[in-house]
Amino acid sequence: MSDATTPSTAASGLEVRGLTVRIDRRTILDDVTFTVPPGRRVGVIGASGSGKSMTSLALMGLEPTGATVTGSVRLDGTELVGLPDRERARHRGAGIGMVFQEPGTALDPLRRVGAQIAEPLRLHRGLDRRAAAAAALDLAVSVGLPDPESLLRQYPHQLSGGQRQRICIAMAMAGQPSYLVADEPTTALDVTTEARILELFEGLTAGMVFVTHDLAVLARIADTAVVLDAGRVVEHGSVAGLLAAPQHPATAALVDAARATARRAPRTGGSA
Amino acid sequence: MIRRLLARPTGVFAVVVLGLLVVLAVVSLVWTPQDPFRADPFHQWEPPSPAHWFGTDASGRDIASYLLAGTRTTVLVAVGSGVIASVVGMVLTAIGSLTARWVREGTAVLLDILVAFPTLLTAMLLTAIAGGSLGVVIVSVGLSFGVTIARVARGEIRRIARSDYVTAARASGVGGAGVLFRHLVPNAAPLFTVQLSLAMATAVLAEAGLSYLGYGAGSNTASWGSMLADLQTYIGVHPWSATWPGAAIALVVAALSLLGDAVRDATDPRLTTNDRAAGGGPAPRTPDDPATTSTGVTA
Amino acid sequence: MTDVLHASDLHRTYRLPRRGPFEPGPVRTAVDGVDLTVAPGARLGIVGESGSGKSTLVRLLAGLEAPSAGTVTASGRPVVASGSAAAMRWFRRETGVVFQDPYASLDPRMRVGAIVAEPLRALRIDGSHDALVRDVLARVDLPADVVDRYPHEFSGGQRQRIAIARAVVHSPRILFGDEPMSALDVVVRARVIELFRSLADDLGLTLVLVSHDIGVVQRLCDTVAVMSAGRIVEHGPVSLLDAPEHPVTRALVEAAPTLP
Repeated sequence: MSDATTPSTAASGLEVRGLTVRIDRRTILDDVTFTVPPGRRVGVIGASGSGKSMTSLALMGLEPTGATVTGSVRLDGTELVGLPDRERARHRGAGIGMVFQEPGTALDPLRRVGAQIAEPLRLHRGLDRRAAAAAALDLAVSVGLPDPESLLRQYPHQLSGGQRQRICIAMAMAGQPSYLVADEPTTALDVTTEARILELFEGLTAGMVFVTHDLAVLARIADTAVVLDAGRVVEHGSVAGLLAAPQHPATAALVDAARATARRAPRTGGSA
Repeated sequence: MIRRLLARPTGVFAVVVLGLLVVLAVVSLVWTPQDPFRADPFHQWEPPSPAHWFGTDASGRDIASYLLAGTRTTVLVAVGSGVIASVVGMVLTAIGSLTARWVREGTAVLLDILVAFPTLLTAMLLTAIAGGSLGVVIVSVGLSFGVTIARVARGEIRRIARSDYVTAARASGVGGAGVLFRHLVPNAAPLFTVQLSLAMATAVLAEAGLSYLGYGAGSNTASWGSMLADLQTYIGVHPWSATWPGAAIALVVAALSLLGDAVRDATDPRLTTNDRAAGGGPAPRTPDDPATTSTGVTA
Repeated sequence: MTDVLHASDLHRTYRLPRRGPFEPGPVRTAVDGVDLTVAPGARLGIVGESGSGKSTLVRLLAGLEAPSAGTVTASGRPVVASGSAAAMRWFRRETGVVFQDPYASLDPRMRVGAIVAEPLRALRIDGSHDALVRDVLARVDLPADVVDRYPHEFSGGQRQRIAIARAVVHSPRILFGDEPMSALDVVVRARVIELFRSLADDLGLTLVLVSHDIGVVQRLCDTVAVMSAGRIVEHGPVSLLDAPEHPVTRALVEAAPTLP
């Protein structure tokens, strides 16, 4: 599937250039540009309505019907924008995987979770049933699920939120994608579970686009980030730099809000 | 509400067709072009003419007059079944939702059993008991659909009763009756409306089907279904004759089905208040507005 | 006259659906023996993991669910959640509740004005309801013309403000919050925290707030109770979160993100 005019680079990163999404006459995303180097994690941060969810959908080619997408998304050299859906679908799961916000609704309630992990395995890696079952077990172990053999036989409603999200991550990684898009994957989880899921993400080798509204969460998972406001990238840089010296008012608002809500670390000595 | 109803094509269609039906039914009480029941063996199968707008049928009856007379039956069936289905539906829903636990559970089981009885079977049973008549058709259809409505509405009421806004109402001190009439009923009403209109639509169809099978109204009541039954045996020879009652039935059934959807949409605040021209101006800016155009994809 | 809210040996168990025709369903214990006292004017935060029973506890305290065992009293009067609305009116007058999901806690078919005025109607509060509604909307920073609009016209943060307005329109003494910030994004959350604080100060409210977010509790509360598996495992001034002793508390605190 490589573009014949571009030398196929083994892993040049997930390059987004000028990504623009319009629905009817509204512009949801406007000229969004950023790059995810292989194996690195980049945050996409913004408040509600900034277009960050649409960014993750557009990267996957899952934008709503009626939306026009222009610009470029290159996955290790292969252009994704403009591909017919059938070809795009081959990249979904195998080149780029997605983890959604609500593990409860991302899973089919009527199928056992083991079967749900096996599906992308059979689809993308062409494994037969037995091999897929074994690979699903390996994946379950790698995402830190306790007692994987019996857990995989359960239905989603029998698992906790954190366990469901681990299953979703396993499904996303099943196709062995080089990149992962995570759209607020820990927002629906309580704080201790969130910490553990973030640890899990840190252990993955895939490059990651991590979408969130919370800088405090981002600070633990990504080194660099782009800030979205009204569909545009208004600032980008290292997370530490954004926190220390935000330039754009939208960034400043996010930093202030994060400081106003994050846990106060105890000060050693002096007054609180 | 009528204005909003007429703003949508489905609403216009439903209102026009059903309005026409009612008008024609009233008109037919005092006038029809010819006597609908007069059989004239010398004028069978005549094509449309000024005397017989849709022609005549196998017995020489004027099709147009018969259809006109049949509007009364149709209205009676739709309204009669609708009323019975509503009453039965509301009573059973109330029993199934608002009573002690064992009564509720028992009602649920009862409803599941009753729903398994096909409408046709009920009609046949009642005909066997009470003889064939329009009344029997109306009652059996009304009962059948009342049970179906209750089963669906009960589930909806239970779902609403568990919602946060009902809990919030209780936390605000609202009592049982208040919760019922201010929250449960308005939120269950859309579902009820759609189910009711489907019930009426199916009632018309069921009456036509029952008459066709010989279970319905007698031969001194004009029924589109029985005309269809008569004419369809000749469909190889006179294929167009059965289209008139068939089209009439199809039109009314479609209009009734769509009416429910249209009414539901016309009364849903989520669909009617995005029309800023009606409400006047955009929503005021307040803190916590997404500062930009909303993507509709909330994060 | 609510001076003190008191919970004594509270239990709440649920019977889950049975697995076979002959065995009774398993029993799930949400609250397993809780004793709690809330002094007037206190700001109590209840924290814990999901499944620790904190939401159930606050619903028991707010009289929205009846305990399987134990009692809740307010100023010595028993709070009977299963009682009639009339019997509970005295308690409902003194309390307000804000729920977690701003998209679910407002009746989609009611206008905002009617929603906010509902406690005034139900509790038969004297005075001009319109004026009271206007005042409370101003307090939560919403313009008066929202009264004619429907909830779906507003964002999550705005809806939560409407819900807060409803919870305090009748001037209660105690405000209960069941994770009221959890569904809001961080920018909105910061503003709503401020709103809670200013309301509590201006109206002299006693606050009982459930949250899994340590940051929220540190900013709004002076006392904290840590729950795990249906029990309170640590209870004291909010400063204990700076030096947690119990392993559960320590895990919660360490999991909560801080900013470098």
